[in-house]
Amino acid sequence: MTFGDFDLPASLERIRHWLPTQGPIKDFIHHNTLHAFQHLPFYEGVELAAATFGARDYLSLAEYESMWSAGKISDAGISLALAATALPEERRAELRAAMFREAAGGAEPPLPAPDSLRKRWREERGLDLDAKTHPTLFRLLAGYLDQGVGLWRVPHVNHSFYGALARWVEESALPIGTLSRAVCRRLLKLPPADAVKDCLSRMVGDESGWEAYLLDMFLAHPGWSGMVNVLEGSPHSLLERRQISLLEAAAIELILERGQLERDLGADFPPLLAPGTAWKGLRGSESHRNPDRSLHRLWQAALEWTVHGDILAGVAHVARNPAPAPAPKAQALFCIDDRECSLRRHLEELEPRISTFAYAGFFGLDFVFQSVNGGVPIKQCPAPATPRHLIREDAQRNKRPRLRRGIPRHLHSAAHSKTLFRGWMLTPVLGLWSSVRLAQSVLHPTSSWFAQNKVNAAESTVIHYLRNGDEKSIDGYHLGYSYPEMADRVGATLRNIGLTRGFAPLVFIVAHQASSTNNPHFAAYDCGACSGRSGAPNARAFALMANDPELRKILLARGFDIPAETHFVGAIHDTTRDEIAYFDLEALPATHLDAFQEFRIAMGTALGRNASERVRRFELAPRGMDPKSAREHVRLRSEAIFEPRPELNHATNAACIVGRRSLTRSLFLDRRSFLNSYDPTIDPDGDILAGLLGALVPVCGGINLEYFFSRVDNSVYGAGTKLPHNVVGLLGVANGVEGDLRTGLPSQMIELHDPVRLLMLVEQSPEVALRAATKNPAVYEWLKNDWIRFACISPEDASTHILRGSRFERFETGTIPPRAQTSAALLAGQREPLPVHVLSFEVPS
Amino acid sequence: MIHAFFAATLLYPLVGALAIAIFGRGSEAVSAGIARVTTVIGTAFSLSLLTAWLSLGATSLQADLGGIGLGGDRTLPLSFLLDGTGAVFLLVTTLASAMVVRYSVVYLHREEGFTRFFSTIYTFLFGMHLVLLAGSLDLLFAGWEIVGIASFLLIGFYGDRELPVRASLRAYAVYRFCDLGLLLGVCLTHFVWRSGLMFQHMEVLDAHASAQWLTGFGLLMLVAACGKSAQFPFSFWLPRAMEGPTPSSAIFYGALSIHVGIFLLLRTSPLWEGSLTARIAIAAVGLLSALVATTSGRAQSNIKGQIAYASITQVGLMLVEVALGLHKLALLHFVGNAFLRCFQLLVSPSILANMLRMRPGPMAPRRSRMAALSPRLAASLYALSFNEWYLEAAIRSLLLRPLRGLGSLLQVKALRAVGALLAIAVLAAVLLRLDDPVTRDLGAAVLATLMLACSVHAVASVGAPERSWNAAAASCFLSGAAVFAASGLESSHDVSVYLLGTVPPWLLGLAVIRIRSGAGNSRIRLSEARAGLLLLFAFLALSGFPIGPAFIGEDHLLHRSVEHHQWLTVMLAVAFVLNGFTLAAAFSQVARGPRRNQSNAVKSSEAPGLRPAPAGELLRKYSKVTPGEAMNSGVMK
Repeated sequence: MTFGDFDLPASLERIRHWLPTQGPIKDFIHHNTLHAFQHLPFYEGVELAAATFGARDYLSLAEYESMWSAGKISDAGISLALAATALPEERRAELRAAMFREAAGGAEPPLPAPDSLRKRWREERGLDLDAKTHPTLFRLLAGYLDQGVGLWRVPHVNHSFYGALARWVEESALPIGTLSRAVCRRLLKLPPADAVKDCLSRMVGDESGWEAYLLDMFLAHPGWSGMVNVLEGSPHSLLERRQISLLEAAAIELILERGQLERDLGADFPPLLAPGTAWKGLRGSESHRNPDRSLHRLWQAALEWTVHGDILAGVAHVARNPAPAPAPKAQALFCIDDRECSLRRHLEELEPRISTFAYAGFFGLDFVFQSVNGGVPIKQCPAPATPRHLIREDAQRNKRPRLRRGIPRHLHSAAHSKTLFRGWMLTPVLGLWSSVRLAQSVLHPTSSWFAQNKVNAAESTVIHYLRNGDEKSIDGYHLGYSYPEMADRVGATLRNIGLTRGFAPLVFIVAHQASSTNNPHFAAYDCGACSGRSGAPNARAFALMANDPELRKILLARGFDIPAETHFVGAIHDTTRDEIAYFDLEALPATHLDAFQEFRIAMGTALGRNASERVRRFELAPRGMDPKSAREHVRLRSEAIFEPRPELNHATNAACIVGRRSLTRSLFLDRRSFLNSYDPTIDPDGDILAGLLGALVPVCGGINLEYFFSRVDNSVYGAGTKLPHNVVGLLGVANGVEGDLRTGLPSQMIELHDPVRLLMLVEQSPEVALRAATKNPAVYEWLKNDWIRFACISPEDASTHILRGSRFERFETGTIPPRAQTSAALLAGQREPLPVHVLSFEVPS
Repeated sequence: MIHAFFAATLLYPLVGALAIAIFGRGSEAVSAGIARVTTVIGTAFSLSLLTAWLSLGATSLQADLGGIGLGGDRTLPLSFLLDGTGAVFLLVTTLASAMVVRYSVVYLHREEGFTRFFSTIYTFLFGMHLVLLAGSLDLLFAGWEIVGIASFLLIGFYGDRELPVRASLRAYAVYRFCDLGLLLGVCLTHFVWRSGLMFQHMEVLDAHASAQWLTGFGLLMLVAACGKSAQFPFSFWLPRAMEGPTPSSAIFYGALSIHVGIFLLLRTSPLWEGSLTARIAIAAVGLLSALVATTSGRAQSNIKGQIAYASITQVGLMLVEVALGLHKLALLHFVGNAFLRCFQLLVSPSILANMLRMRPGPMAPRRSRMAALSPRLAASLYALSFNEWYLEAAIRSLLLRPLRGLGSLLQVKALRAVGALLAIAVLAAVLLRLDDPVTRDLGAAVLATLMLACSVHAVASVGAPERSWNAAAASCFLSGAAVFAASGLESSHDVSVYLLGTVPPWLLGLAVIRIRSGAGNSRIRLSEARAGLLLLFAFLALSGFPIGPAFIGEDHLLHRSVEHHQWLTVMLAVAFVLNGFTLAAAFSQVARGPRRNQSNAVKSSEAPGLRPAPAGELLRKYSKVTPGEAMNSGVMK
């Protein structure tokens, strides 16, 4: 059979573009939900996406208005948004009036649904194909891709998806959905591409509608389509390998539909497009636009300018009034994560002689980690990187490691309890035991045995970071790093954060992780720079390397004069529990013990204050908790099986500030900002900055926009409420048993988030900043199309500039931010987000 | 004293549900407070009742709390009973529900429908207590219905999505069908023993009935048990019912609701135990269910579906134990299964972390005994399990499709007109010749046939809410007419009570449906939530749920007919069951279903009011600034 000249692979390539790119949930990688529209300016992209996916593009006008009433949108913000229109004054006044008039106008009409060829089955033939084929399709996909939930595997699972199903259908004496109808059996004998074309020509008719039909079909279940697409591109993200492709999934779905259509409409149903008629619409093409959204754009801009204007004014004020910093007696390097923003402030407020830095939480070490607890090696670096080194953790000699194996604790979930006879024997015993466990977990959650990922100082283990030869692991990784390789990475990290001299006697490398219980999205709470893992191995390895005398020699030769008495200490901060653990303390020189104790005490106090700052945002937490009870409260959250909000994660993130700590040290940013240390004075050409932006833009921008879109339309871009979620095949979550996989973030993670784009503020002159930004076209696309607002503050004259189009414009930060004595004074009795404040705590000189 | 314990234990969930529904509206804190307090007090009540039972010898404790006058000389005795079986079930119910409430108060924080969740959970608990403590089959039936409706409401908790609505209707359809077993069982006891079945007198009754009645009774109880406990051939609804919040799935399908079938069989066992046929049937169904469920469960690649089938498997084995007379073992099995599945469901989101992070070695494919089978056999066995033994398809084509086919015959307008005329003519003839038993019987037969036709038509019209609502209501009215025709003037009181209970809810429901569908140029506007509440009330009242006079009326009608016209009783029961389902479907269609683009699905951001405006209006209104101008000026850069 021949089919015209329809180019199926090219068509699938175009379709691929529109699908979500969320992989298996065990490694949750934040990314721009609307990555497919990033080549367009932000507002156009958002609106086109809404028209394509049938989603919301902005909040409703009434919601914006109520944010204005609540003070979340300020008049200054509205003025800034209107000023950006460059319209004459009286026009702006009219627009402003229109903003409020329309917001008071009640509910808005729903956006028109996307034009769809496939919905004609329902509208013209009265057949709800989705309802009939989706449950079977989802179960076939889940059964084939299952990573360990089901007790039986789909037959022939070692073949490709299409091949396995074709064999199974062939062998089974019993029908499998509609796949066992005669026509489907015939189709399953064809190669998938031929089956697809055969079905399309029979069901759709004219070739003009084929791509539109395929796109409609895939977007009717974006979760599974996206999963298939991701797994086709990176099959290694599965632990049990499978071979699946969009083409094969399309073939199976079309064959299912074909069978269903024949069953319900008869074998001679006419195709959707009568001969000679062509289909013109295609979702995602520029012609598909929703009605004018200028007022929504204005309100959205006003919301963003309220927050960004505030931050810019704060930073500019501090830059114009620099405060002297004392010589540090300890330094601490944190992750750029917005959740560390407040801990650093508390630490420095408490002890101004501690100075803090921030760098992406993998600290420049790209490796896979083999834990002593076994399991597969885990990637410990940002998602796009491909590590080539493996670091192994081992039990210390003469010590038995405390293994954290789960079997006895999770007896109730043992597979046997679900079978017939063994289940019968086990049920009474396990049941009585479960009743005790249930009572304990509900009534007294602090002793829950469920908490995943508790802070662990790894006391009885060692890690092997030094590479001794060319021996490789089975998977082809180098076992550790050679000294030059270490020097490249450690040196680059230190240079990037501007820490090339003035080392304190103690330098702490603080990674972070999050503990939660009963939470399938746990990976979304961990360190994004470590692919959704705990950063502990990285901090530990970094400190060990930096203490290695051999490495110090090489670093000295490269211009890093690290004094002999400087000692690095790795540590891990649990952002949910506000706890910290330090690694390898036995190597701490006796001379440093006092300094270490001082730091540890300060850190303990800071963690308590940090916890009390955090608990104020939890509605169910009692008011006015002191640090001690606040820490108890957050610990409880991480362990209670009934807590869907172990922490608020990146909610309220709105900015990323790249520059010296002096810019932000005395600023109260209310945990809104990612912070990355950077010294503009050692980077006259912007090379370091370009490197930093290459990592920061996709990571911080990805986190920010994932929160943004999950908040704007939680049912299309987000995962909806997590309460009915059901874990499917260890791949993702679905609503109930028959639903599509849900992508994006659950409502519990984003409900306190205000959709504000990221303000990327770099401490650099406009010329250098622009040069750095344009170096990498992929990065520049985010900035020039305004998916991230790019600004710079000049280190020379503290002037602020904002990127509009392709050039920087001077931005006047008019207002002077309010002042407060200390964080504690500012936070007393407050539960809502606070504007940027300048703190005036004492700084000893 | 004992009476007070009984009353308190029985009523605290009802008080809690009402208090939450009335005072908790719109305030999570108030609802949560009431829920917590109710749980603490209620647990104390239940435990003191159990203590009293223990201290009084742990045998059988009764309490007669008077009766509800049903008019005439009939009363519904409010008699309660607590024995060993009831005590074990009550203890598990009390403990599991207390845990789940404590879990949910935090888990559902900020969820839309927080209040609704807790009032429904307590309504369920009320039904559960009524089932467990009922001293008669009539009372048990009332509790049974309440449990069913609560389950229906919680499966459809997220009523703005299609799948939960569909799943809740699927479950409710199975419930209604199997309720036919219980309803006919109730009628059978009235027919055989001339009174409702009192559980404490069952041994005595045994002697008064012939063996085939007892066998029949046992089989009817089995049918009833199969619905709620998801046994063969109805097991397919349970995994699909996991659409509500996790704790509601845990308490219903892990712990309690799934086991009420076992309770019913244990409770009524003295009557059917003498029948070998009944015992064999029960054991066979149990064994078959266990087999179906254990294989189907193995092919489930999602955690909640797998736990659901694990639960069905064990309940199937419990049926076998009950049939074998191993009551104590069945009770032990129940306790274990209830807590185990409840806990497994509550911590089911943990499976990912458990299996990934705690796993000692790399993922190795599990050894499977399937490998030992021939490829053809293995493929077929997997297909069988994958398709859950084709049970849903079979039920659909055996029960639903013929019903719908039959009902769609009545789509013809002329046929309906003929039916209406016929009904009027027959009624007139009966009225004219009231004292002629032949005319009356004939008339009753015709009216009852028309009633069934209406019910079937209503089922076929699911999808057109107004029509199916009216058809179901017509069926209700015809049932009254048929009983009137059969029993004559003496039943006029009963029939009028019934009509009094059905006409107002019918009209109320009709009004809501018309307003919501925008028919009749109505100026009245109803919010989604209010319309849902009104329609729910109308649907429950009309389908004889124990909240209105229709319940008493329905009981009257059945009681009337059971005396002399047993064929009519069966027809009435069938009609009531079908109507209950169609009314639920109409409710789901009108008050539930997707409503995208109206609210943001995030609690803090609900748009006030509902004022649909035509799309162009917005643009015209601020035409002073042309949209294009604002856009071109690069506002939104």
